[in-house]
Amino acid sequence: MIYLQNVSKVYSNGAVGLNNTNLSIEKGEFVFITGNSGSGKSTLLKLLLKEIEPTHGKIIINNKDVTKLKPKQIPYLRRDIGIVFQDFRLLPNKTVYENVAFAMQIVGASGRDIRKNVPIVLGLVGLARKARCYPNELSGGEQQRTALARAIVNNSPILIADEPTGNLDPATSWEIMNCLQDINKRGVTIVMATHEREIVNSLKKRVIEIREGNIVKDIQEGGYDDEMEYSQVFI
Amino acid sequence: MKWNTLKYLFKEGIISLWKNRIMALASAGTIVLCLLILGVSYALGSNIDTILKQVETKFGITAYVKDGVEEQRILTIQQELNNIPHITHIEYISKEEALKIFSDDSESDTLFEDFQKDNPLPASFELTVESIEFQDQVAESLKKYSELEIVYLQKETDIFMKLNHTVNYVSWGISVCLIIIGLLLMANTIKLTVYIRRKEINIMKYIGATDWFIRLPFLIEGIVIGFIGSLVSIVCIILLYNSVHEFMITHLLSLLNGFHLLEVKEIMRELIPIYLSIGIGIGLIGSGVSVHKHLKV
Repeated sequence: MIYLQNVSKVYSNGAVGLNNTNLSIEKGEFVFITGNSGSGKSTLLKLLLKEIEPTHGKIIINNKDVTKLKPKQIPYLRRDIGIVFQDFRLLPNKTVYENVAFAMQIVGASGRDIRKNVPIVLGLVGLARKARCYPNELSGGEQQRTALARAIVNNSPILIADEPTGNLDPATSWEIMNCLQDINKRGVTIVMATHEREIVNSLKKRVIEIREGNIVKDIQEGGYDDEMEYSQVFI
Repeated sequence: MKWNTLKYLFKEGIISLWKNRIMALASAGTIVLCLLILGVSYALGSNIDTILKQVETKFGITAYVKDGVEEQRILTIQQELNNIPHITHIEYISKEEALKIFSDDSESDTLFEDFQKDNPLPASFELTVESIEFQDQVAESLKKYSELEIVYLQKETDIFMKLNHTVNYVSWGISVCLIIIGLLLMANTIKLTVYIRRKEINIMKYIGATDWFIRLPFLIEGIVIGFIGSLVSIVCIILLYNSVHEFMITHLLSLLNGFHLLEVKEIMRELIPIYLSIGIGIGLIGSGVSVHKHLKV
């Protein structure tokens, strides 16, 4: 589903974002990306969204060579990728329902499909009763669940979550994680960048740790503090 | 783009106009202010222009026919005058007619009879020139005829032409300055409205909206703001001009000295298209350019 081949990113100021990285994430996987701030986590996510271009290498998402896409095609790439941010990024002037419907308007869905699908997805994330609320009337967890609903309403095969629990208390974080696991069970590939030790340790999913632009650890069913080094896996 | 989507985006434009009505009002307000200043200077300029034009018509050339020129020769001259460029009107006044006009003007009733036998007044051609600038040129070509004596207000013509040019340059200069200032001011206000919503644009980009999908509602907003701004300005200018016009006519009639000012209809006939095109143009270009800056994510 997501393949990186010898991908490097060097910023114009000389900082190395990602160093000759190879990575493959298959359909239906749930992957944690960990690492300190400035480690290259964000660079990786930005590359996947084609917000920035790699200096070298090839990125293939959903059988499309992303590096070859023209700027005009970027919106269509992003429709294959649902995205959730730490700061939710909902449209402040739209209700929960309208925020989710907006994602469907973008892909040119018919009014009938929108009226049918949006309530279903809102039900899925447990927000059916808050459909008419504006984002500033919601708790953080509810806002994030709205963002989740928006990310999955178009049935995108991939979901990228950039520290989705970063602004939430532990209990609410677990609500979101349960939502994400449900979504994953429906076959959506999930890539989630996170700092939260506890979540990573207890879910036992694949964990990729990035340090100074290099993948230093890539373990199936891993934990945040596993000692096994990436290099050792291949020796 | 599908019809469905277009309809949605049009609705979005109108809805977000309402939701951002304070900023929309600010933008429309700036447009109104600039258009009003522009309108006032336009009204002033065109009125000065018409008054000058009215003065110009009083400037003509009189060519007196010297005594003893034969009737036949006068007719040929009259025909030749028709071929001189820039003359718009030729009127021949015979000796008798001249006397008649003169006696009608004077108080004496018997003047006409007294002088009929020995008329001292010369026959003349009263010429109207297309524009005051051509006065000298026409007079020059008339001097070829030794039978004619040319009289016109040479000095006054020069002064008047200079005045005319100066007024023209100044009013053009002021208008251009005002339009530029207005453009900058409005562009800035619209930029600000878009800047406040840059996060929104950013989010739309992240969830896969095409540039046109994002741009269209903003453009519709811009057009509506510009249109409303123009309409308000048009109404204001009509009311303002009417009351000033009324005041001038009722209170300052003597000052006008027989000159008439432009009717509000005449002003608005030119001002309305100018207002609509500037207002809508600014709204459209302003939002288009401002959105463009934030689309590169």
